[in-house]
Amino acid sequence: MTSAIEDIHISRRIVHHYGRYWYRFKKNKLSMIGLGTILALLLIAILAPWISPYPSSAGLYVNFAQALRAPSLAHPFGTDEIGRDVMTRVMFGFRYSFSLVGVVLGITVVPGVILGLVAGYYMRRWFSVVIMRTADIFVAVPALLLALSVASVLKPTEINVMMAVSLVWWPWYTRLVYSSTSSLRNEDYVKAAELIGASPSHIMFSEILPNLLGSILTKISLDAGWVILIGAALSYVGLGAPAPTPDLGTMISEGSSYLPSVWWITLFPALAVVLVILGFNLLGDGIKDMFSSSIR
Amino acid sequence: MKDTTTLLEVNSIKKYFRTRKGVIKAVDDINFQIEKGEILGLVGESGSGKTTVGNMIMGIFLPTSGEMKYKGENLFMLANKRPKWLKKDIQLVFQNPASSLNPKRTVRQILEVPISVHRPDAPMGRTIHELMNAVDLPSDYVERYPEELGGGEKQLVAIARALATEPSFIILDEPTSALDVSVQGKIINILMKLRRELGLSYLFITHNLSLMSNVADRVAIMYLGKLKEVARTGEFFKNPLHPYTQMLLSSIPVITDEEELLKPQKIKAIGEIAGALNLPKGCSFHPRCPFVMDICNTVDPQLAEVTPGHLCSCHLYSSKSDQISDQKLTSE
Amino acid sequence: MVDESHKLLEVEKLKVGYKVYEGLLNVLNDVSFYVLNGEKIGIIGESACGKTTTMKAIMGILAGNAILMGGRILYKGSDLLTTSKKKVISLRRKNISMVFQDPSTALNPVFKIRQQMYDTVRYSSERKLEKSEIHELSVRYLLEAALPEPERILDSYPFELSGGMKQRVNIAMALVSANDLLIADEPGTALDVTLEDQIMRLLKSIVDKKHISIILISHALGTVRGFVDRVYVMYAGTIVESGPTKEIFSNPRHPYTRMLIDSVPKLAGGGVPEGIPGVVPSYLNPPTGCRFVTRCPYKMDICNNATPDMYEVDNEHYVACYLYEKGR
Repeated sequence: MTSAIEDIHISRRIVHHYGRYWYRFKKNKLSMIGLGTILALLLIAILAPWISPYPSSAGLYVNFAQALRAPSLAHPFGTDEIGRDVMTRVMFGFRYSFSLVGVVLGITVVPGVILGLVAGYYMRRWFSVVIMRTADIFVAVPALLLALSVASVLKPTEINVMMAVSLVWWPWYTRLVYSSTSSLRNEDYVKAAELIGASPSHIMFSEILPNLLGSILTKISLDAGWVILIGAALSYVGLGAPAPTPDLGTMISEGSSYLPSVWWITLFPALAVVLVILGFNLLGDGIKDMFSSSIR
Repeated sequence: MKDTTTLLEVNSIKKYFRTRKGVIKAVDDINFQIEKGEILGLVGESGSGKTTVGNMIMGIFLPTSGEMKYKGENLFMLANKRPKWLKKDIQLVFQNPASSLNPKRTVRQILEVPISVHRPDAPMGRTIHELMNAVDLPSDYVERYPEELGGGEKQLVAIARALATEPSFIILDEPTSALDVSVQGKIINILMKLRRELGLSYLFITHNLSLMSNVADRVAIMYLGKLKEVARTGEFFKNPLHPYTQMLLSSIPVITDEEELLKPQKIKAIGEIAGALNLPKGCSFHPRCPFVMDICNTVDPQLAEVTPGHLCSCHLYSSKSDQISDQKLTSE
Repeated sequence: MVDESHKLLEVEKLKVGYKVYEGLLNVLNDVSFYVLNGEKIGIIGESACGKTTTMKAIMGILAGNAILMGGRILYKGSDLLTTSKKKVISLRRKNISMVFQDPSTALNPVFKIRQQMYDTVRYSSERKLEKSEIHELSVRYLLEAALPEPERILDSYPFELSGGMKQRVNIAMALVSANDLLIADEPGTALDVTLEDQIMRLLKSIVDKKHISIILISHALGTVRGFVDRVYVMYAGTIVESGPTKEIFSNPRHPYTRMLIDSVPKLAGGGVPEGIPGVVPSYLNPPTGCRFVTRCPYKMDICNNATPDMYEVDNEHYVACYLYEKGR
């Protein structure tokens, strides 16, 4: 039981301690740009229905009279081949991208990390070998190829695409955590916990895992960019969100047949993809700095 | 548990490591006992095997052969196979306080672990508070992370962690070697106070002989895996028998002239400590020994009692005791 | 008084700080000391007293967040802090070098000693050397550092060598470019006591023979006592006492020096001393006056005003303490 005074002390300590992380993050201007970009795009994605200029463009909408208009004041990104506003569709396109990231990483990170912890801590046992060799198999298959194969066998829906990408994503976390765990388990403080008699689950989750958070979070941020890229690539070949859901990759593909005279239908979604990946990369750098204890 | 005053008994333990290049005899046939309430100092330089001895007693790895008994019960098991009372009763304080505390855990979280494992019924907050008091640390330090503590304070937390299980025997592996001299005293004095108040016994591993002379009840010196000399502390420093002991003592950097006079003057440190893979034949120290005789490079001397309570493993002292004193004085 | 022309290195009122998350760490507080040609001086200080910061400032290898707030570092008369980077690097190649504390981390584990030794020799020379010359010089320096089988050493990786040998390799490498000054930062701390004894004797014979000046930094009082001619005692970024070695150890004046010497367990017995109560003050908000004031049993009101000057108490023996102010 802690008293109110102790609670105040504790919260001051926590603020002070985590304040240092923010200080390290802030130091790099580029990381701040990355953070700002991602937050802005996230906000746009969430508020798209309310802040986009022509929300109906995101759904079933046809207006041939307005088709293929070049960028203007009324349509800053122009209109596409059936008259939909490109800017609106790009904003809505972010929704698909972010939800892909959320689902894939949401499904893969936790199991991947747990498997890596177990395999790394119990290095020479049979189940560790099984885990790591299975991971090796999945890693050996190129993500895009596997996703394509799976998606072509099953119905090409968003869910299936997300599942396909998830299937090839988890082993990278397992590998990352495995290598860190297998070296950290020789640290004195882990030995100390073992000698005291702490349970293996305590050691894996309370002693080792907190020291891995930095690298895991960094990887999550950098991965987000990759997931979006692979998702866009899948959409580009027709395995994305079904029409009329706005999907950046699909937009790039559909617009490509009108190049080069009608350039805006492809360019703006492409720039959007570049922007969001860049944002996640810069953010990832910042997160790496946050956990880098050499920065005082 | 048999009722006896001998707490720890180590008989003929060996630890040989097999490597591609050959066998490393890290510990080669060591025997000693520690009585209840005693502080045994184990001295040695790198490669002596002193840390390996500590690790085997803790159960970090198993000896290649030999016997270990604690309170009469068999100790020859890996730590994770040991019964709970053993894990509770024997504790270890590591040399480097910075690496023995998890940087991502607060002091409170670090101390909670041993308490919740071995004393689950104890009131957590109060027990932690008592532990902090026992090592003379302010209670509000419990919310701090190790990086927010000084070196000495970190080591005190490590000691508090060792005390948390209410042990009888603590192995201290170079507890103050990584610390500044102005804080060493505080740590040592707290350890001595705890020994008095709680009736603890210590295996005190260090290379700092000046410190040892003021702390240990008995001293044992190891060189390349073997025990070279064992004696009560006063006797050890007044009358060092083994040439290696004399060499060690003459190398100690001291800071007063009176200490200078106490050191054996004649032995200057020479030669390299032999590589563990190329142990010299016979006595492992003979290449560096200023008193080397023919027998030294063929026969390995045994640890034998030279005077009551004072054991030495050196051909200078085997059987011919009268001739030896002359030899010791005339050799240069 | 000291002949200025014999001063090889003089640090004058050096003030260095570090910018960190919590603010500004005000570390070096008007640090001043000098080394004469061919002299051996020691800087005694415990962890975080600023001795490594001082050495890094001299070598020009301070961390990125270090802030130079004042002072000069005069090397043969010219201020290193205002000298061009190029000139400083050339000094590091040929005149000043450093031996670090941990012999293992000072050597690159993935290269043989040969590579590292050759590189050192090559960079320290003004003209391009032939391969055979480089090899010959490498062997020579290794022999000077009392390594009996230079060829075998050159062919080895650092992990194949013992701690003592690695440290001797470091000394050999430092000797290549230490024509004037060698800075040894705790050279024997990571080694066993018999090895440390050997290394220190080796260093002593080398610097005496080649007339190189040496700054020995250590927290091990005994090691310093057996080695240097003059001692500076450093506490919390301040030089608190200086003088000839014998004087400092037999007649320490500053309360910190006295308490420090008292904290060392004596071979003669007497139990384990209590040490110095209290902690080193935080550099974020150091005391405005004498920095030892928080732990000093003799503190007076005046001690809070300003850092005391160095008062001469004996021949060449100075103490930064108001207890010794003229007129007390």
